[in-house]
Amino acid sequence: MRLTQWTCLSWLVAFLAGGTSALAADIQFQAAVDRTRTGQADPIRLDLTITAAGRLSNTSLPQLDVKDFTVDGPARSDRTQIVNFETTVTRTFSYNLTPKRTGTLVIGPAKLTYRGKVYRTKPIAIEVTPGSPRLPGLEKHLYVRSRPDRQSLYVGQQLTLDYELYFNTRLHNIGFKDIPAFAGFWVEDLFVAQELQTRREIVDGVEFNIAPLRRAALFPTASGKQQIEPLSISCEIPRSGRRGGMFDGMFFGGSGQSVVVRSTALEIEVLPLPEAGRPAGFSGAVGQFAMAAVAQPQEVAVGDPVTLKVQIAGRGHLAQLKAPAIDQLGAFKVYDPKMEEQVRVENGRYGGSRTFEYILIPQEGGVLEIPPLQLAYFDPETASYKIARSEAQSIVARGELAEADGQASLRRKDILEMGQDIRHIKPDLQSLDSGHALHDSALFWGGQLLLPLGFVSLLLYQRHRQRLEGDQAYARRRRSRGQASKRLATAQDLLNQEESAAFHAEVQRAVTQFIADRFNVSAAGLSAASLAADLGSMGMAEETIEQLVDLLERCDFARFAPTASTGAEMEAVHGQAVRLIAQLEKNI
Amino acid sequence: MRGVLFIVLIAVLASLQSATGQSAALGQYNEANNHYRGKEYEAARQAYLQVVAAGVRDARLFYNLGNACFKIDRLGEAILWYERALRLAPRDADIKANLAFANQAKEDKDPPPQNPLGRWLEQLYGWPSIDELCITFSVLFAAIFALASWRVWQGGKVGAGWLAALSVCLGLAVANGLFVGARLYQHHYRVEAIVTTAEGTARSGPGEGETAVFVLHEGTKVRLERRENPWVLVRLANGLGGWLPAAAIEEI
Repeated sequence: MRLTQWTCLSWLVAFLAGGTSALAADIQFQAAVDRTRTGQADPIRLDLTITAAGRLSNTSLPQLDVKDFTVDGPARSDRTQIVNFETTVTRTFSYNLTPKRTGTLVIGPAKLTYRGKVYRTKPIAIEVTPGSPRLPGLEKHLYVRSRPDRQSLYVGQQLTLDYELYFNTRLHNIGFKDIPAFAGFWVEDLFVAQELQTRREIVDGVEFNIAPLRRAALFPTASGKQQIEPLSISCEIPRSGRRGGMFDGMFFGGSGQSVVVRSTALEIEVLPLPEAGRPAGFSGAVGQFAMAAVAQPQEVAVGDPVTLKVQIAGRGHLAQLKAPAIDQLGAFKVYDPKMEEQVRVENGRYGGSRTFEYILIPQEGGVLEIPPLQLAYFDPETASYKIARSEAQSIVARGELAEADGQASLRRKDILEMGQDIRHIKPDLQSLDSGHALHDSALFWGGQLLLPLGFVSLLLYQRHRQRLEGDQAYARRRRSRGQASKRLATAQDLLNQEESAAFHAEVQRAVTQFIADRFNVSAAGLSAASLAADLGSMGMAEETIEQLVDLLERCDFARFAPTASTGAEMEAVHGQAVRLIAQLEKNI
Repeated sequence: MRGVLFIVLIAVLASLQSATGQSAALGQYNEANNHYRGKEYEAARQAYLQVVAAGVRDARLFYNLGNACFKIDRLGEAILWYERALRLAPRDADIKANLAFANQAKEDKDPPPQNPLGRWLEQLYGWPSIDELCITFSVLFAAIFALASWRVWQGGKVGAGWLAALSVCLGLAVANGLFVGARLYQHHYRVEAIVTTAEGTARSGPGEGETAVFVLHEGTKVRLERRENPWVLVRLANGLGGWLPAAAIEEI
């Protein structure tokens, strides 16, 4: 706060003084380090100072040239001084530089562009020794060890790299500082420490705490000598609580000493995969792999999908496992596969499986074969190429491919209508329909009337039949005419045979029976005289009665006469009987 | 007895007469077809018309005649004959197709289509021809009397099935009778006609001097409401009415 007030006041004074010439003055740009000799564990401080007479406008950040150091910062601070009404503004950018290696390192010139002018500082040489000069012998008590499992390997083979922190002093605030980029490798982290898990071990007679920091599986992507950059951590060594007075008298004031510990750089020999014996279709898979294929369902209709799952599992980097080619299946249409990856780490060996799911559409019926699929890989353990195979699969496809399916329909076109016209005439005929509409036809409607008429006649007939059965008088009366006609017909036969007696008997019976039937009485008791009396009382015409009596008497006479009647006489009797019965039927 | 004999005799004679007329008409019809195939459409039309004049009433004849008329650009006549054919054979796809095709060629727009239900009901209503309805009616009628007779013959001793059959037949006959009645009513009292002249001016009254109300073009279907020779009152589907010269239209 005081500083701010002071700065404002000084600005005000400078302004009142009207030192315009000072505003235009050049700036000075200088670099300074706190020491030129340091240990690798000790960061050095680099201050870049911009000094301007009068006012200093906004400056861009200086550009550093420090390849051999890890840079922290900068921190900026401004200071204004007024001496004899001359204002001086100082701006400082402070960096912490940690050496990456030992030897003589150079801090290159820093560059600053201010108002179109470029300013450079002088380079500074720094001598870096191992460990920490301020803490001699630190490297014996605190170091990071990088331990590859092998020094030379094939492209694509797994290199397991362990970083471990060895220490037998107290540490605070441990954190990763430089993380190697592992250029030229695929990196799969197997372990990264979130906190220190220490174990104790005696190294060269000294007891150490050992904490694993990181374990990575590296897969070289190119052959040749591959560099692995060091990994570094930063930590603080506390002032108190030192073990065995190791650093007695070394520390002065403050909370602790900040140090950076780094591992050594590594160089790995990467061998190319041998050309000899490399199978066709080798896609760069390195490791040990097995392949299994399953097609589901086993039985399917033509045109329905079959799922073919191909699993490649084993140890090695999975990125090089490509989908096996199965495009040579003529009987199937094959769609691009869907891939699923599962990573498994076993005993520090990176591996897992990739499952490729193909959709196959059978294009024809029958038992279709999916041949074994192949994966060529290089086995670095035996330094030879191998081939993983799946079993052959067979699918039963039923039916035929539907016409409208998939690509078949693509080749077809909609039928184009080229022109329109009326439909053609009806063909020649053998007969034409009638000339009248049914509903206009009297015959049709008349025919409908026949139905009720027929029904009524049926009713009447039924009534007649019932009366014949139940009413004897009615029955006899209805049958009388028929019976009489039958008897007269018999009489006619007898006449033709000239059986005079029988003829007259039959005629007499026909007439008396007819009258008896009509009155529903017995014919036995009927004599000509009683008949005449009865008929007369009924109001029958005299003439008819006389004829009846005459006929009956003639028949009686003829039946018992010794001589037969002539044919003409009999004809006359027959004719008289017919007329008489017709006459009687009308009146009784 | 004698009356029945007389009726039978008349029927036999009529059928004989129509049979001889039939064979002549049939020959003419097939000859007209030959004209049509030879693209002599006018000759075909004349021949078909002669068959029609001989009293033949056959959907196939009317259809072919419609085709012949259409081919010589007698659009109104073609539509007329298709309509007549359709009344006899309401489910014939050829007739329906050609009627629709001819209707597209005419000048006046068709009335807007009904809603789906209305269209469906209209289709159902027009599905059977009147003759078919008459035949089903007489079959049902005969079935009713056959059932009644059966009961009389059996002396009244019939089961429940008889009653069910009789009710079904009675119900169907009543429904069919109503259907026939409606169709016959429409046939006789809602007469439709087709405009057969190229253009006809409808007037507000029967006479040349009356105000012109609207103009009809060949092929348009109208309803015939009244006759006052030589004028007829026609009504369009949208309710517009006007008097046309009787010669301008032809009853379906």
